[in-house]
This record gives sequence, C-alpha cells and structure tokens, in this order.
Amino acid sequence: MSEKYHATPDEIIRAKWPHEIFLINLVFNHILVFASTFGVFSTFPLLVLVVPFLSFSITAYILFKARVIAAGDDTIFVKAHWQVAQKRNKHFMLLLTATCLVISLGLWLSKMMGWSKIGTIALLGGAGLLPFMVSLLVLIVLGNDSMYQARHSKLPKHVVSAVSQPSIQ
Amino acid sequence: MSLEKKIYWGVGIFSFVVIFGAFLIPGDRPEQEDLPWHIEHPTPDSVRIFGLTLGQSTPAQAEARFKEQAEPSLFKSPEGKLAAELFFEQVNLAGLRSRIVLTADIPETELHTMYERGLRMAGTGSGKKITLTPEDVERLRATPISSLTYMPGVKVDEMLFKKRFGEPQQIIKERKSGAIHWLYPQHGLDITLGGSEKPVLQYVAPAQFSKLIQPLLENGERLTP
Repeated sequence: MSEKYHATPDEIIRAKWPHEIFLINLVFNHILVFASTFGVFSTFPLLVLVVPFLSFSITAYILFKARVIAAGDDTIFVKAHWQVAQKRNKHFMLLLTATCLVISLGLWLSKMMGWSKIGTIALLGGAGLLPFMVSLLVLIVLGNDSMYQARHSKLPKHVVSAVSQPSIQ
Repeated sequence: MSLEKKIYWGVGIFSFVVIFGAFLIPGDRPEQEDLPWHIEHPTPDSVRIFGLTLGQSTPAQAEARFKEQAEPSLFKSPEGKLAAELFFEQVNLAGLRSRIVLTADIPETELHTMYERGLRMAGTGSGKKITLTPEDVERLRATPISSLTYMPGVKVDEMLFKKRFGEPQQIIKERKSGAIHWLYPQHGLDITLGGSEKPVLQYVAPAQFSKLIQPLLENGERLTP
C-alpha cells in the first residue's frame, strides 16, 4: 500500500512535520492538557476551552501550510505527506467542530430544560466526548503510521497517483 | 528554527506548564459551613446549617449556595398530607457527595390549591408526586425553607456522630421499620440510622422540633428517657 522513495534526510524532516504537529496536538493537547484542565474545572471552568482553541489553531495552520506546500516547488515526497496530513486534519477539524457543537448545544439545552447534572454529564459524555475520544485514538494510530512511513522514506500509493511526479522510483 | 519546530516545542512546553500547573492548584479546603455538624444559632430559636437559616433562607438562595438546580415537586403521602419539596440530586459539600431535600414553608391551604393546579401526577413508592405549574415553582423557590434533609452518599460510623454532635438527648426506635432516631432538640436535628442504610440528617427550627418527633413518639419505642 506504500511506495519507496529515496528521500534525503532534509526531506524526511520536512515530511514528518505535519504528522509530528498533528500527533502532539492529539496526545498532549487533547489528552494531557484536557485531563489537567478538566481536573481543575470546578476552580477554573473556562480553562478547558484552551484545548479546542489550541487545537483549531494548530489544525488551521496544518491546512494552510499544506496548501502553501502544494503550490510550492517542494519534492513529491514532502508534498505527499503534507497532503495526507491535510486530508486527515480536514476530517479532524470537522470532528472537532461537531463535538464542540454537540457539547455546546447539550449544555444550552440542559440549562434551558433544567436537566440534572448527572444526566447532562452522561448524555454529553456518551454522545459527545466518547465518540470523539474513540476517533482520537484511531487518528493517533494513523498519525503514527504516517510518521513511520515518513521516517522510512515511504509514500502512500493513493497519494502518489494524486501528486504525480517523475522522480518516484 | 522553522515555524513547525516552534509550534511543536511551543505546544509541548505549554502542555507541561498546564499539567504541572494543575497539580500546583490547591484543592478545595472544606469550609466550616459545608460540614453537617457546623450548626449555628443566629437567634436562640433558629438554626443555620450549610449557610442557610431555616425559616428565613429560600430555596433560590440554597440553589445559589450549592451551585446546583433543585427539582421542585409536590408530594402527597398515602395519608393525604401534602409537602412542597426541592430535591438536589447531587451536592458536593466538604468533598462529600450527598443529596439534599428542602421543604418549603407553605400553608396547608395553599398546598391544596397547588395540588389542584398541578400539571401531572405520578405514583411513587410512598404516595404521589405532582408536577407544579411554573408559577407555583417560582412561589416555591421564593418561600423560606422549613426543613432541610441531608443524605450523605456514604455510610457514617455512629461513633463519628457521637464525636461531632455529642450524646443525643433522646433515642427512639421506629416499631415498623426498626430505624433508630437520634434526637438533638437544641439543634432541631434528627439523625436517622438504619443499620446498613446510609444515615439521614433532618434539620428543623427548634420551635418546630415537637412537630417532627410527634409521629415518632406515637409509632416508636423510646430507648432513652
């Protein structure tokens, strides 16, 4: 499912960046920072908002930079890895937006309808956070796989055909 | 240093700062007012518990105090007695999760009018539960609290009660259920202990205490003089 490419060490570093940034966002921001800010929710309830804010900023940067790379004169190896990251981050942004909407709507409905605290937590956790966390784990696995491919000078086949260039060996 | 490198390290360092910062934030210290044995008497015949003065504070003030919204309901006992109550499903006091029920001091005649106006009626294990109209809910939230029932989420050792509240002035055992009531008339407090059950602490104004223990005296057995 992947093709070998003879990438230079500099190309490997540039191809790894989108996956590295994507993974640090998922693992550090979405898991560790989220757990820490959620832990102090009773004292600083707004601190947890730093997680979606940071995540949207990082994802937006990857999407923007991928377009710049695609329009630039980088090698196919670098372009292909940024394209993989772009596609993944696009889906992740949709997922994050949907989760934020579900949680905001749920909190608003809970306030309007006077739902109990336990019921609200169960509903928002089950319908909002749980699917997001499961998707997050899948994305971490995919991100790690892309990192492995970039480190070993490999390219996903479907991307190669999309970003065709004669230097593929 | 490339921008990607700056983002990577920036996110990493920021995450560590937040994680370790969260550890350094001191936990909530239990306030005196959150403790069930911290009973104050603003006047000789009044009781102040959890920062609420019975007979003066309203359920709306209790909601602000507990930072929770209560569920208002009207209950009708099998004997036909009506009581307007507000139920807090989960309140965190002194790090202990508990449930709290407030009874509003509404005259019997008005309770009957509320009952007639009720929107929905549902059967409960012991009587009926009536859903009140929004206007009656507002009235309920603005009426002073006559009694507060505190149900801690854990089983508490009897020795702890003795240590914190002192020796009860009276102990009455219910004939039917076998539940034991430790009575502290000076505090308007009735602690119900039911063997393996979790304890229930009911606070009323000392002047109302005789009303509280009347049914107990009629249907119970006095274990202490």
